[in-house]
Amino acid sequence: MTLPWPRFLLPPLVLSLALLVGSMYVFLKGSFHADLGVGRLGEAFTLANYRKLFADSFYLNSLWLTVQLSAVTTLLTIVVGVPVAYVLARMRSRWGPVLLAVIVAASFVTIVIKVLGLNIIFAANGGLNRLLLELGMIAQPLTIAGKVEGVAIGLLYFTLAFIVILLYSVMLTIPRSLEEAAQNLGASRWRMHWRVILPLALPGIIASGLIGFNLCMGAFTSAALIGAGKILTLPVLIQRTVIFDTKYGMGATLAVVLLVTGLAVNLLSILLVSRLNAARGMTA
Amino acid sequence: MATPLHARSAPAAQERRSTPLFTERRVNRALAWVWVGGFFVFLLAPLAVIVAAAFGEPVHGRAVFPPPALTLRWFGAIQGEYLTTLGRSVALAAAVVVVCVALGVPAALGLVRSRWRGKAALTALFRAPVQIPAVVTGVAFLQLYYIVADATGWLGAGTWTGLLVAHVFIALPFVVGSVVAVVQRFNTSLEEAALILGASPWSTLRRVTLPAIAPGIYSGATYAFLTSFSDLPVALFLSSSDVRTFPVLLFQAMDYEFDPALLAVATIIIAASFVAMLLFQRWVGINALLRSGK
Amino acid sequence: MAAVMLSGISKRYGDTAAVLPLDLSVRDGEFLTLLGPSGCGKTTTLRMIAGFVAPSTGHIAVAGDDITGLPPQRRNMGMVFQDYSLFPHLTIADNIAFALVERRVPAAQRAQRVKELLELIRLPHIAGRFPSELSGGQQQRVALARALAHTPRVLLMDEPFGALDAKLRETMQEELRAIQTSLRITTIFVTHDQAEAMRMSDRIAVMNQGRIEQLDAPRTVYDLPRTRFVADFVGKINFVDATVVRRCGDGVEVDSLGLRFALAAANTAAAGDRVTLAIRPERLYLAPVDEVAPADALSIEGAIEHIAFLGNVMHTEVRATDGTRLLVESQPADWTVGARLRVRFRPTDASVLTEAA
Repeated sequence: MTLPWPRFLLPPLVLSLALLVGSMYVFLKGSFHADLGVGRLGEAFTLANYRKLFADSFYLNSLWLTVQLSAVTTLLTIVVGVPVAYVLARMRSRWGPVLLAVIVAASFVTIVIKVLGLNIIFAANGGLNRLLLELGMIAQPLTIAGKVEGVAIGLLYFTLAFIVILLYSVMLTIPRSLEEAAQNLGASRWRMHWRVILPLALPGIIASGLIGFNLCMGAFTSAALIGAGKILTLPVLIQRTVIFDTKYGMGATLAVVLLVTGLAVNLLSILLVSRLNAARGMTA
Repeated sequence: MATPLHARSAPAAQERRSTPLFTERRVNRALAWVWVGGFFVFLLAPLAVIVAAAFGEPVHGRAVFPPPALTLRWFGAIQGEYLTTLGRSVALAAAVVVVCVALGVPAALGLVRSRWRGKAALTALFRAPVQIPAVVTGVAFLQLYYIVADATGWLGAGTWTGLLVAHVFIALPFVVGSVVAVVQRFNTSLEEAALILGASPWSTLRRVTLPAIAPGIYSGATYAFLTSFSDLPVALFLSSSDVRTFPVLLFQAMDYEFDPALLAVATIIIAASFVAMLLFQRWVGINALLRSGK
Repeated sequence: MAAVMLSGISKRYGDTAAVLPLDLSVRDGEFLTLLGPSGCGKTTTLRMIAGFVAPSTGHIAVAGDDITGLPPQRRNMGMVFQDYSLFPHLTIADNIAFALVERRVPAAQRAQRVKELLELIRLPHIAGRFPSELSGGQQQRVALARALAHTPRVLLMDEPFGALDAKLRETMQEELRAIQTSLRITTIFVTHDQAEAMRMSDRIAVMNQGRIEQLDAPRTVYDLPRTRFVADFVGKINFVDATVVRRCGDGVEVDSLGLRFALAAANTAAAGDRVTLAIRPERLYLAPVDEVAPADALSIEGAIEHIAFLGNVMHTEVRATDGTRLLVESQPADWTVGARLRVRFRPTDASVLTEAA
């Protein structure tokens, strides 16, 4: 059917482009100007912000912490999520759609509320801690506020439901007949999962993991709320640098580093996946 | 037997034979259920404790789980400000949906149907806002609004319009993405059928194409609504004391003495999320959400 | 006047020609089939008639009006698609009424027409259902009803029965033909299935590589194929080399299989030309070596090389004394491999292909 399709595209395109280029240009170019205090930036072009960032272990530690936290959380999400997604995708009972709907509904709830719940669970005088103390399993109450482990748990809640939904779609694409074929050939269930399903699902799992990693790298809410000013991931640091220190230049520099790091990890994974696929193509 | 897991793959004869208690199949099935059960407990625990605490008495002024006694008083203690804020957040998200659908549906149709060579680049451009951390988007829009205000006098920072524009920016990729997905799968012979039956291209778009891609629009709209309604980082930069969304209010409230009435509001939101899911499943089907997720 | 007239119609996509310039005149009320393998240009031709594809050259006229430049929605045609293409969000009644709504037909009249059509396709009880609730055959019938609702000038059908199983396909073919005959609607039908084309058509246009190779009644296409492609595409056939001895009237006298005989020939082959004869396996008869042939039959001697029993018929491969291999289809009989026999045929059952050998 012929309608003036390019004209359909034009208004949203112009608006998106203007907002994207406008906002990012205005903010990121600040990384090349010195902070003069109270939000003002110097006129001259300088790389001082970048030099400072790469010379200061404070910033580098924050970067390293962000990458580590994101990687660990992503790995946890995948390890927890893959079996769940697989079982749900293979489920034939009428409970399958119900369970899936519960996960989707859970993904609808904002992370702010989930963190609120986590705070109640891990309250020093809460049921969980009292129980564990009475059982003698812990000497001190388990808390999450201001702890790296706590932030990791928060990030896990940020991505888990969404990633399981993605993994579920991946698992649906693996034909059941293949598993039956593998079993007819005498493969045990564990071997079948290991040798048939996992390799087939791997590209989808990696893609989902990458999305989870990106989400974690940019995650602000759980890190800010649970980190309580002690665990400074890059997104938290960007917010504090801009709001508390009003250093837009340094904030922009941190943002550039965050964007570039995310991009680099993405490119690396894409490279990895394509090499993986190429290797598989040769053996096939 | 109501056990759904791998029920068909074993030959029926094997099922009938009396088998030892710990067969590989049974152990695997039990492990799978423990894993999935654990996952759901983990996933739902924070939501469950909020709901429980919202109906419970606090201890030393703090919400605890399990609550020592049940009460409904926190629902009665919800301040008017909480509800107005919640209402404004919903209104903002609804406005974001309207704008995103108005922009995103034509954009998706244009992206799939135009015969341009640079379409891959344009698709990437429409996806870009998702790749940018929300904090960065928040600061960037704040600065953009300052500059626009200096140049034109139009205020973006601390206004609802400013929040709307920024939320449209972060939510639009979801509408474009899910509509592109359905338009690509759309069977164009449906349009040809309408044309040969005498419908003009515009009439075909209205009577055939749009209804046929509606599930993609609904799922995109749902994601757009959630993106706006759940957003904290962008709103944190762009809100003011008069203009703030519910997540911002909650965020600020968590820093100070926490009002248990907020748990009651959170409970309402959790309940609304599950109701919304049920309605979506009934009207559109959950598959629409899954497909666009990819 | 021709109902549909294609003059010099062609379609090129870049350097590749999908349809070479062709002329085709479809008679009023006729059921005409475009038959050919995939990629032969039959669907492109149909889509040019529908208006979905703009022809590179030529003109299309319906009842004398040139419609070449008209968009599909103004051609007043009906079309049934390969995948039915029923609107999934509309009920069966709304699907059928679609064209009537576009033409602003009042609701009461619309309802009446939908009722008529549902009776025509013998599914009066499904008006309120959705396409996804119907079987393939039912969807196919609804697609036909929808295409007929606005009493179009021409009905176009693009491999409509391709997705149906063999038995249902036969039923649908018969029903369609009955409806088409009763309405006397000019119908252009596209298929790659020669049996389907034979069963339904008034005339068949056999297409190959963007050309119409033969346009004739089914019987003529089958019995007297004009080209090797047509002969081969429409059932099994024997090709036999021959040399023209001389022209005589409408036909030629040829030298073939060590025999000399006359037969009709539409081409312009002259004495001395090498040509190819085509003859259907079921037009050949097996006879004992010593049996006397009827006066109008010719026969040649040979030996059986291979026998295949196919149930109702038997396929026998015979190597004639001059080395030509012939396939004979006959009632099952007690022949054995190696047996010597005579293969008999009537010269009128053979046709001379128009191409040079």
